[in-house]
Amino acid sequence: MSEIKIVFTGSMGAGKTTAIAAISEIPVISTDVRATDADVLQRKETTTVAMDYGELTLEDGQKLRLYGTPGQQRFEYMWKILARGALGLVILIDNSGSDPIGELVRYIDNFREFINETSAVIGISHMDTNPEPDLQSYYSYLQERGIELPVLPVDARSSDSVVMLIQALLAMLEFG
Amino acid sequence: MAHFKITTKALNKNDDVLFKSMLQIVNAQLTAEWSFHDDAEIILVDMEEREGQQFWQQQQAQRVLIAYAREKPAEATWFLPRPIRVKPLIQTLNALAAAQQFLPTAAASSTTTPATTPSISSIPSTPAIKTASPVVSTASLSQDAFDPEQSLIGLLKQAVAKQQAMCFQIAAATPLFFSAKRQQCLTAQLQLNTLAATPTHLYNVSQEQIQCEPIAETAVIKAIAEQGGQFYPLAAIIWLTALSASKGRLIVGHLLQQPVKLKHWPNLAVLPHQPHHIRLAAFMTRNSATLATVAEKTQVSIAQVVDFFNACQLEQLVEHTEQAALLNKNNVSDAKRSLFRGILKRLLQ
Repeated sequence: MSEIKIVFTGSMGAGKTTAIAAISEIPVISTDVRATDADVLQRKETTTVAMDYGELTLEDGQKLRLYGTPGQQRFEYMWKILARGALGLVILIDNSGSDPIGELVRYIDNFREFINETSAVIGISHMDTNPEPDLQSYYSYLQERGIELPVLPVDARSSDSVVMLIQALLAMLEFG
Repeated sequence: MAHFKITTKALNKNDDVLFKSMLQIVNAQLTAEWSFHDDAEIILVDMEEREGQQFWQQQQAQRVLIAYAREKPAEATWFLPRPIRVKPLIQTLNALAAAQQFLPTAAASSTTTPATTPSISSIPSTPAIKTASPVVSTASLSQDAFDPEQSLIGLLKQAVAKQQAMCFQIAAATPLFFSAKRQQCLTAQLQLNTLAATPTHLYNVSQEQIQCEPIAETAVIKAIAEQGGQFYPLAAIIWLTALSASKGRLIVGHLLQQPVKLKHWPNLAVLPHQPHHIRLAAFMTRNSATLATVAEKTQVSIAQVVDFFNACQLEQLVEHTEQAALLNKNNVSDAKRSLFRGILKRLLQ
């Protein structure tokens, strides 16, 4: 049987590695390296350069593989490689970034074809400390583009919160 | 008259005998008939005994438990103060009977609607994922409309309009505080993603059964210091009340045949929900359909669809459309559905 996987993508510092770690049953295999770019360093000490990997064993023994893409634009070539054959996409956006909606545009544009074929869910992190833009602003942008995807606040450290995103993704795949 | 069975757990012999005899003494003053049975679903638990505490932990999600202790435990919805006295016993049992009759459960062996409460349908409204064939016959829906103004929602709106902090309570159950200053509600912690386990008594009943008392803002702060609990957005309490109090009755002013669509997903990160609400949100944001079609396509009972629709309507998420418009989506294969179920099951373990 082909690989069963869900891909976590999204802006740098949005919590992709943390979200995978929150639900993975194995320690996340990470390709984090110490950040050297000034703009990255301002936000976190390390950054993912190739991918993150976690997994869950389903009841029948199959593995659900959880991949995280690198957040920096220069590693964009990895995104589509990782997404190939995935069930769906979790897009995480850091609301404390300088242009969170612009970041969302970038990911939606990059994965548009993939999203049309499967589905995606959008998780907004750091909304507790940075409430703007609010959820309505994200929905307004999506509606302008005729995109009907769930947008939910997420705490990447909380397994409940990450599970909610995947529940929403699976519901979109089955019923949306 | 409704009949309820009750039993005890971990009470010492004296308290056990006292409770049984008191139950007989007060029966004439109760709004329902109560009898003592060892296999009852309603259980008085001595929370000052280790055995009682362990039983509480194991059974609180499955049974209707009444905490018996000197001080009310924070996690208890129903409470009988120690030692057993006539008045608190009557108040607790009457309040519990009223709530149970709004929430059809195995606890009542037969139910009739008391004169003080509005009529209810017999549609089950609390189970989580429904795996059997969906109930799509709208004939099973109550003909009554759901009027949110007659529930806790009406009282909350009045408090908001008056900018008055309030305490809402039924009998000895966990109170709900409204802070006008914060425009938030304070209550015991809600399990946001497992609505079935959330104590819903206050949210089920009609407003005549709710005691409301104006309080000072400082009393809300004092309550959180003394009793714990958490602040919730007003929208979360309105949402929870709509889900709990609707009981399959469509909200006033809406037609069952009207196709509807959701403008976007409800914010389920702050709104209490069950797994079937996620399915409904996914379908209803992508398709415009009548509620009967929604029930058929999502395999969720029509009563649960109506409850969810009502809550979405109060959140101003609903848009009415002239015609139904279903996406021409390829059918998901059984193997895929089975895989999704397997992933969900693993994630929710």
